[in-house]
Amino acid sequence: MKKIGPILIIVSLILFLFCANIAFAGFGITPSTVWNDHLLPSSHFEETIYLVQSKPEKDLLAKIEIDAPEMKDWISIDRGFEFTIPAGSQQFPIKVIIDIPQKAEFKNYDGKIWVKTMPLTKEGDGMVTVALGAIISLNLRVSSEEIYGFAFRGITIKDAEEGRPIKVTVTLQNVGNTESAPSKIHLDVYDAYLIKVFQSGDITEIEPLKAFETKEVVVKFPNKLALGSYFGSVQVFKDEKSIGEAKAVFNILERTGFIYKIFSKWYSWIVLIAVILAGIAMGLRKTLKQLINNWNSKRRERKRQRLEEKLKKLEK
Amino acid sequence: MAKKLETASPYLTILLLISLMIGFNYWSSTVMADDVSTSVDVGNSAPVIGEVSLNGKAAINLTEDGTIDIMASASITDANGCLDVRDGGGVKAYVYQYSTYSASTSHDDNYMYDADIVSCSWQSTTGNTCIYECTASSAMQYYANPTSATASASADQWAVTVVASDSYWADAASNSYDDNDETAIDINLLLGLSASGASASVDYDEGVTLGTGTESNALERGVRNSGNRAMNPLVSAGQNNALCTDYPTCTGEIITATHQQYSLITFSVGAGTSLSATPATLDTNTPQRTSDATDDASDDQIFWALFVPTGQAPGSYTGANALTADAD
Repeated sequence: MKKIGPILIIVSLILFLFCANIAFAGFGITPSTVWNDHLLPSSHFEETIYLVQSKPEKDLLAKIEIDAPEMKDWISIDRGFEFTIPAGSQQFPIKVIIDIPQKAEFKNYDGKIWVKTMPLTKEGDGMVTVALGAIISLNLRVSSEEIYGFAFRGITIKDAEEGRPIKVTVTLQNVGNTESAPSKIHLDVYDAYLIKVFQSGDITEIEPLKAFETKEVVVKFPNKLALGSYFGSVQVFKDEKSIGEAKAVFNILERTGFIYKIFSKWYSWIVLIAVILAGIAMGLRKTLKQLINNWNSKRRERKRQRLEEKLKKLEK
Repeated sequence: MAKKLETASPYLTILLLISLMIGFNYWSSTVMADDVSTSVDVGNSAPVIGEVSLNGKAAINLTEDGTIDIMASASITDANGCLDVRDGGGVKAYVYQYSTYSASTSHDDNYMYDADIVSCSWQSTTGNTCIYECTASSAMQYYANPTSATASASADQWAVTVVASDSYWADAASNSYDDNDETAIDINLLLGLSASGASASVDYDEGVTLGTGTESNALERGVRNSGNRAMNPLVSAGQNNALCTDYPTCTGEIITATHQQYSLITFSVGAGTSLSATPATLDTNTPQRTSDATDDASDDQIFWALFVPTGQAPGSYTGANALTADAD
């Protein structure tokens, strides 16, 4: 009996060990590589990695370990090195932030970022949990080579009022390693059937984007369009080469301002001119009247003076 | 009174003129139509496809061992109105790995999600232009071919082709293919693994052999490649490098991790590899799977066994082992 006791306990341990950890759990990372082959000294680069699970039934404690001795101090994670992935989150984003030091050597740098997870809730006594994880590969290259390039991520064109500028929002990603702007953004405005071009224009003064930055750039084009529905086709140029094109539908709407409404018809201007002329005429009339009055009063004064002089002479 | 009127008369005149100006404006914007009867023959006009976009022009991130929604959009103009397209042949969409597309390509979770999977619905209208959204809920599989920068098919991309047909079967087709590599839409590489799986229900109640110490027969567990790239699982002891009676603090009784052994084939205790705190590769070189079904190539088995040393204190031991997916 003395022997059977421990044996039973151990058997139960084995049963727990292998039966209890039947968890249909999975874990993954996407993209699985932080890759950049054109970093400069002092470059700042961010990559969003999604920690993914098809069945996120429990809160998970995630721990991040950097296994890249040469780069350890360059790398940070926006959520820190230990955080909770809440239950229900199938795609949990973390940002891997790379800050290249000014004195970094020009060469390739490889390393790994370990993502280790552990359920926050204890499975129960006698159980062995399978803690899942994945490794993010780090493949970076630091060089002195300056790269200039953009990725075009889409546009929106807001409806515009007649005569008011056409506002185009272009989502751009600077894939180069220096602060720069595209050479131009070109707009062609087509009819709704993409046949007739009504208006074209270029904007060359574009707000620059920081290296590796993704940003919405807003540009305004003059608007000579009549009321209606149009297709705006926007092209972004790097030097003389188009790096992408996107189209969006927008409307030209009637102007809504009160003053604009009043002065939008030709005869409004005639009436306005008439009003101004009438005003001027009335002003002139008043001035003339005053001048005449002044002249009359001076004449009366002179007459009175002459009469007084005559009277004085007669009295003498 | 008369004098007052005389003084105010210029101002009254200006006021009258301004009122007339405003009045004319409002009056002129109202058009009174006579009764007119008309007869017009309206010819059919084929639809025109404007912008076609896949996943909002952003890279696609899959979910391990699962599915994600497919999202695409298109703007379609028809001179005969949006109803002509909706009630005609409608709008169809095909989402696919660009290099694999041909008119005869049928659905394949690895590279083609056809119109039977992706459905398009009319969302909004601007004039005669209709905005369609094409979606497939929980459709794109975790093993769909990756095309991102470090993938073997990095020169390729994913695209959507939209076909619109009106009530006269006049149609138009356009796709989102982008010859600029920076802007093309890719599926990102997904590295993932899933523990257990089909072989989880091994009956461990039998075959436990107790020796001088105590040892288990090797027990089989499944490891699944749940991503879209080749993978190698790494195995290591988890927290505290031991099983213990007061897990996770582990200040009480422990069985060190080295008493667990593993192998890719069934084995007797002593013939396996001892578990260590240092991750060790299983060298399975598990390839990207091509279907969700369990297969020999993309599903591996790990055999585990435990040896309990003589004199080990009785108790309920708890612990954690780690399985980590590494790129192959």
